[in-house]
Amino acid sequence: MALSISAASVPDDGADFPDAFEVFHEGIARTLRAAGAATGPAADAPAVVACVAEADGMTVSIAVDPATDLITTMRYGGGASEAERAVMEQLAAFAVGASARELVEHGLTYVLDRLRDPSAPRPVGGILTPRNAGPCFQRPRRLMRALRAACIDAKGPFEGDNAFDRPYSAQWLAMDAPAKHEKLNRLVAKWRERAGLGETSMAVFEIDRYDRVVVIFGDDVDVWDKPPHLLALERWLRQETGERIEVFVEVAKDSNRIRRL
Amino acid sequence: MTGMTDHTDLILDGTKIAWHQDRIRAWERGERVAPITIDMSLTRACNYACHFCYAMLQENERKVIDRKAIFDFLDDCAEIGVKGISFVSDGESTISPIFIDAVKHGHALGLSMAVGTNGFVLNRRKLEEVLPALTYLRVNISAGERARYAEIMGVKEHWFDRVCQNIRDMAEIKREQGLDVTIGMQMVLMPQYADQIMPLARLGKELRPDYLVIKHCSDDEDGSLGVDYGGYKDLYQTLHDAEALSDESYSVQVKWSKIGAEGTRSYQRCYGAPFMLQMSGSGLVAPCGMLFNERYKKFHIGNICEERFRDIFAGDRYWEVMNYLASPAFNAQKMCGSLCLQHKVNEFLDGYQKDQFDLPTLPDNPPMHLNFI
Repeated sequence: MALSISAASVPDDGADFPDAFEVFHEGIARTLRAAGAATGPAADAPAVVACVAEADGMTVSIAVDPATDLITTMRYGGGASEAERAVMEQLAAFAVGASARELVEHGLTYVLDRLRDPSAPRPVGGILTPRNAGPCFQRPRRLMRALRAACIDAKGPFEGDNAFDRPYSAQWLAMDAPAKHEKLNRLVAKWRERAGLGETSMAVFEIDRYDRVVVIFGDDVDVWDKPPHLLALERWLRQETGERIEVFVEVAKDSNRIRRL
Repeated sequence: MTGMTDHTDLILDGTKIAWHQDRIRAWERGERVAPITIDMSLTRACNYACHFCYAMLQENERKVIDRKAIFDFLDDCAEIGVKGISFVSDGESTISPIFIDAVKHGHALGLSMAVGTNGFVLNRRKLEEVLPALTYLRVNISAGERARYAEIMGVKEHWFDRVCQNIRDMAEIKREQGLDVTIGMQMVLMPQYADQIMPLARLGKELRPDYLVIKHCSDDEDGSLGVDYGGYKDLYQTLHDAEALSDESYSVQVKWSKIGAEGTRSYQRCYGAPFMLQMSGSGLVAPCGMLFNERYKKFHIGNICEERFRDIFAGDRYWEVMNYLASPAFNAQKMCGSLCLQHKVNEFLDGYQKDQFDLPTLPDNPPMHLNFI
């Protein structure tokens, strides 16, 4: 009796990045073309608190602004493969403005998202995590584990919950409601075109007080086409705006007559 | 934080996910793991109007789960490796005409079956038929006095008497037939029900179920039910007093870990849903109850009234949604209601995923109700 279905594929030894699944190759190449500045020591960083960690011949260091407790610089070194370099470059980009705890706890899941081609199937059939994302994620994973230990050695255990969150940008928050509507309507119109939907198939209905976007569908959209459209639209709006847009449809009220709220 | 409690016979405040390490290992390898537990309802309808009811927030497009749909579903669950099905979720399953047959069919397939109910439409004949097929039956009863029961549960006062009699009967049938089933009572506690904690604990001592569990009330991310999480602190002494009424065959347990969390979450990713899936009484397959409402349509995966569950489970859509919840696109601290069913499982898996601990070595004797994690 089958417990599970495995759809994992293995990296191709003949590929450009033999320690990475193919779904990451384009992202790795793109990252390497754009980056390269995050190698080396953190000593030149304009902050005073630094944590340094080493794992399997790779090193990582972070500089933290004592006023905000947020990372100002992350540097790495050691014998990284090209794919590992891309992972570390993306981690370095993520680190700036994040807390050390956020970096060690969530950095690699962010990198997975940044490097993966969203149009290609995931390299595993189930849940993609740094643990199963291929060899190029394993040394960085151990490095983050070592960095966590180094941070705790330096500053004591992390306290409370990690509630780090990157808020909406100041630019977004400064926009008034009509401007947000106008921008999102324009983007939704573009997306409809990409998705092959008609003009009346989908529109922005409301942007609520938490900036959550409520859309409505036209009757021509099949009920089970709506969920994938919504996730795809949300992903696209995030990509186009750089903001963490959330997309919903209207709330359904309870149909049970005897219950009340 | 492992979310595990000290090993006890009956874990009501913690998670049993650590006893399923084969599935955790498969999950971390990226395999498509079947849920260990599925929490669902046979209908969205209910004959009660409980003041605290989260189901009021879970409306979605209604379909009727008929006999064929539920039998197919249970067959599929057994085939793909689901271990336990609890009829709890967002409706009163006992008022569905297929309730007893569904429990018996699941049991015959080797699935562990359980029920959460208000206990009103059950009677001795039905109980004698269904109890042998159940791992546990838990009665939702959030007051220990008739008048307050009627207020809090939104029903007539005399319904309280009938439910009490049914609980008495359950305990008696269990004893007479030597059944393994666990009989429980559950109080969903809002701070304004504090006056009912002791009366209910005393009532339980008289009715003799195996336990009374007192739990927090969940709310959505906008606080629609108005749960005052800060108000629980003032009740701690009363809750301790209630626990002190426990005896050798009646246990009063408070879900301290959730009540103490004051509605907050320590984690941002949701890894628990693939292990502990929730389904609506409309047949909707969504990762969890907090995402049942039409509002969260982007997370809706399929419906067992329209499609076989084995096909839904094997489909890319199912895994697309589960991956979304496990990705940085999702933040449970910001985008979810409070203290969901998967909360303790999420805490465990989040800590494990962050390399904060290794899978623990387990004691030889597993806890009860292992398939309800």
